[in-house]
Amino acid sequence: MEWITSLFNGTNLALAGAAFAVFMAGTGSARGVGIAGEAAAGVLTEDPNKFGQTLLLQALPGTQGIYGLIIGFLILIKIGIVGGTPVELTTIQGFSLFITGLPIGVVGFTSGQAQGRAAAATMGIIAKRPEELGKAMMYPAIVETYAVLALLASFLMWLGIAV
Amino acid sequence: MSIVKMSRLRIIAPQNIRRTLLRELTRLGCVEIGNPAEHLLDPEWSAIIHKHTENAESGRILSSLKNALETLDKYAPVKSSLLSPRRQISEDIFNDKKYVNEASDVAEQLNVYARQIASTFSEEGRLAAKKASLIPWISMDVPFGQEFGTRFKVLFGVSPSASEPEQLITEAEAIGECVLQLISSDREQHYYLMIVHRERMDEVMDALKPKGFSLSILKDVEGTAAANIVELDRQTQELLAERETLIAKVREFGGKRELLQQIIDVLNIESSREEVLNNLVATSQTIYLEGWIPSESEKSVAAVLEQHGCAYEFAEPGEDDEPPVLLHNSELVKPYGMVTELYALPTYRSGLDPNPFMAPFFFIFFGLMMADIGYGILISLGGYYLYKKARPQGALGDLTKIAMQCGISTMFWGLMFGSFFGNLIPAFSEGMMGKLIPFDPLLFDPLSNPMPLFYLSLAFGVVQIFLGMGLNGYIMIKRGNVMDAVFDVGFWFMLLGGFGIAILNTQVGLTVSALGAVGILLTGGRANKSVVKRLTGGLGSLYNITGYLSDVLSYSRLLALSLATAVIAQVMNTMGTLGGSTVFGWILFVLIFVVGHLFNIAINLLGTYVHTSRLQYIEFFGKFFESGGRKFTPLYNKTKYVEVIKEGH
Repeated sequence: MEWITSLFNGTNLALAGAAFAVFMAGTGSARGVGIAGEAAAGVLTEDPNKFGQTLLLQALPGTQGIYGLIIGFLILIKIGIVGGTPVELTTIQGFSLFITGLPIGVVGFTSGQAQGRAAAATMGIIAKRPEELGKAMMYPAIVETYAVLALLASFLMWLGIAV
Repeated sequence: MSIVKMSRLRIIAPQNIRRTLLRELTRLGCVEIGNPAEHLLDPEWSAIIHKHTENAESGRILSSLKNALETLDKYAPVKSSLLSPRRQISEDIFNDKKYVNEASDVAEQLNVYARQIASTFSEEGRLAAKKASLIPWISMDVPFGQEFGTRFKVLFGVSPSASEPEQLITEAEAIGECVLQLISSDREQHYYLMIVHRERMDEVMDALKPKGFSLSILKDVEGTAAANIVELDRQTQELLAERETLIAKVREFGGKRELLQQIIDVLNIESSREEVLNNLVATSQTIYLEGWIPSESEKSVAAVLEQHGCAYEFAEPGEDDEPPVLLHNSELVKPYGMVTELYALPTYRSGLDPNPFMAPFFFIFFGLMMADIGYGILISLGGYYLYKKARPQGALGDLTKIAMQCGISTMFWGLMFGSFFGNLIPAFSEGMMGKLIPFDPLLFDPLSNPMPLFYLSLAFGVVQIFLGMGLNGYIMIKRGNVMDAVFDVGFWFMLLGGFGIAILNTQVGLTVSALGAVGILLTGGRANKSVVKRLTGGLGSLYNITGYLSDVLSYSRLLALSLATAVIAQVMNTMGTLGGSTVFGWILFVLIFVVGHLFNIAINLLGTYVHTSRLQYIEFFGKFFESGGRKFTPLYNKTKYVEVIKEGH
């Protein structure tokens, strides 16, 4: 059982939290941007002049990945892996930092895809009524609210954990 | 700072001046012509009037000009950047009729060239197809289309690639007085030369047909395949040379592009006027127009109408009328109208222009989410550069002005939170110079101390939501529904405001809240008749308090997005200074500084714009906004390529 304790030491748990935030939110965004991109390509075959507008819509589900990266990076800064000397963490501290990565990781994963689908659906608006870009942007943007809230929750947790 | 008051305009004008009149009204740019043709449905009207039809001559010239411009763009393209502004020309030149004739001559010539160029393409295709059909026969020295005496026939044939040529040849020779020779084979077919005695012809064909052999007839070909191909190549070369000459001729007209563009603008306006004329109703001698004008322009419109001897009347909007909406605001607030228009226009009847109330919040929230001195400078400068360089119109022009303003707000909040390209100053001085220079915030640093910004965000939310409710009450009172305002807005003010008072004095605050809650409970369901339904209705509307709670919490995004900007900037600075003060370190720093911060600005501009707008649309407009107004679209000289400078400016 020695290996379990050494494997699940504080630093590794914190790293797992950072990794979770980055890869879950990143996967959500990657899928979302992908879904939106497929629809955008369809619009573009009809009218190549709509590249800018469709690109804007495609970029919307990309923010979750960035939020995940933010939390991941903040965890790395806190444990001294980036820009400092590594800190010795207790298992409890490490586990707390792991939990910090959960909100943005999970919500980033789900909302990234949901936002991607909303963005893909609004591509139809751009195809038929490109002047309504402002309205079209709002539907995917409303999905993003929950990623923003999750980012906030993760951040407040991160802030409260003393190492 | 309001919705502009509109007057209904009715004009009866002599037929013969209709074009002049319409041109003058277009120049004023403040007259919207409606669709009087609907009066024709009324028998009283239709007894004396008929629908006017205008011959749309400019439409025809216009399409010829557009085709010509397309030809010019295709064969003599000029490098145009998105930033190049429209050419400015004076009104005199713009209206000079002699340019129309010149342009249509140019267009006609260009269109002739375009047709000739197009026919060279189709001719080239024809030659290529002919050549392809001859290629299999190239090795054969027997000429096509020639008789060889009376007894023998020289024929050409093919069989599918699946058939076996040896078999066919043996078969043919077995019949006698027939020679079949394989000329060539490709992926699809085998090609043969056949010399056969006339009397054996049917016999041979009967034997070969079941094997897939068929005669191939090459029309209009004489001489050997090789000689024909040489000739075809020569013709193709000639054709290409001819096309080059034609394209060169098109290029000579490159200097006429601006003329074409200008006249396209002129005729576009003309044809939109013709379209308006086509919707009018007329008697034999007069023409009838109706529409809307801003009441303040009555004088200038009247002057024009007097001058042309028209009968006219201005009237207040009637009960059933739905006047178009024009918003008038100061230069500072005006650009934000674009944000509102993306959502919807307010109805004329609501009488409330949301822009002056929305603009300050947009300004503050935008800055709060970006919150960086360096980014603010770049956003303002970027907006200014675009504005000066491209002189963009419409929504894009408004965006540049919003960028200029919001950049200032961004700088302000950056100063408050101590952010200049994130933590560039401390990170750079420590990583590259070895000596930490701190850069302290004027207010607080949200990264290490986010709670004050959290409270500030919610406070902004409370203020904006209360303002929205207040505006809703204002609309109700203006309509004379004072009691509705008290019930639906006043009681909510008490209920929610009471919590605020409770911070200072718990008892007074909670009493006010409780009174408000009772009020809502009693009046919330007043639309229903039965007492039970009224009470349940009241309970239902009291439940809306959760809505207000989530609305306020929604403003926490101000903090979250502010953090996102700051953290990404910090990440970039941390990575940029990893190399330390070495040659490699400096290259790394410059690279990451430029690319990283530009990326951060781009991604956060998108997020900030979207979320700032969302707070206005959903949390603020949701409280009071009556959408559904129709935009005032006056006749005006709308141009695409040139900018007409009016005299006296």
